[in-house]
Amino acid sequence: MMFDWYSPVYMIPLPVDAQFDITFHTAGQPDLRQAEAAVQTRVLAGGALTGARMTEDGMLQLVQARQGGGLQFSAACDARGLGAVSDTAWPFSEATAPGVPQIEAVITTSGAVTQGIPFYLHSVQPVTIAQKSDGIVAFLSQDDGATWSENMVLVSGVQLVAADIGPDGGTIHIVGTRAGAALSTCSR
Amino acid sequence: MPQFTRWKSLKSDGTIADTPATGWRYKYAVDVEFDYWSLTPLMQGRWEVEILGPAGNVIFAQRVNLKYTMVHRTVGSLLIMFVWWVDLQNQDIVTTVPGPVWTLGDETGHTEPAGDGDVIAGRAHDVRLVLTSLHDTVAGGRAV
Repeated sequence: MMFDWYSPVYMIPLPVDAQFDITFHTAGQPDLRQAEAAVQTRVLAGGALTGARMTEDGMLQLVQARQGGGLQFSAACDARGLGAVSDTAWPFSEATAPGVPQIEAVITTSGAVTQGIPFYLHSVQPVTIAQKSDGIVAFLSQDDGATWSENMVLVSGVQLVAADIGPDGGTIHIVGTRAGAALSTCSR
Repeated sequence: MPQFTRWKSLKSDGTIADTPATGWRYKYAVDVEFDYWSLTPLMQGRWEVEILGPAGNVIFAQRVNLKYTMVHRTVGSLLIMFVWWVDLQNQDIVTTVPGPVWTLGDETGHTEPAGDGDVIAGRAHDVRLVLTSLHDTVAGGRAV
């Protein structure tokens, strides 16, 4: 008997270099030395990179998953600088880059943190709302994004969809899903 | 609007392609092999999988139990006809990490017969006559 079993679609963020491991099987392809050869995946890549242009200072901020796990932060006044791979070169080009990111920092190295959304709190303090395991946490920076504090848990059991700062500058609005397809909103 | 990437095999170390990702699914190629003497009307298969983050943390853990129903008939001692299907109504999917788990729709899977020219009749697959002797092996539903 030969067939393919298709799993449900899991809305669970995966970091870079996530590994699939079959720990036990009585079905599959037993003649193959590595059971993983029986597995294929397809992913939803959208949303892995989030960004925002800050009206306060005109900088473009990006938060993305970093190689090795966690999140990294970069910010540049000239958006073209975010495409540079070093101080002197564009990707796949020998031309000199017009600029480099003014700020590049690691928000966290935790592999449990997989998705982040940046904005400013009270128009001053960089904050990144992120998915951490089954909860949503906030990382704060006291120095324009160069270093980041430990996270604080905002809400548990919610899958992050979107987040933004309210018009008062201090209320964080979060849109997420809880326990399946139900949509919930909350604010802190 | 995010769209799914193409199906891609795992790398040799199990690394998932096209990460980071906000959602995903996997397909598992099942090749159940049996000999004549182990044919039973009800069989089942089980697997357990994990997805690990770069730091070795468990992001996802799941076990799946599938039941297959097999109907076969012998004519004399040389001719075997069999038909099988996967009992999707009673598949058992238990995801232990994360809790709760987020899915797009219900947490149910589905099956499709693999290539190799399977005959599809309703939900039953692989109806064929296989000439063999009682001591030969029926491998993967293919004539041997």
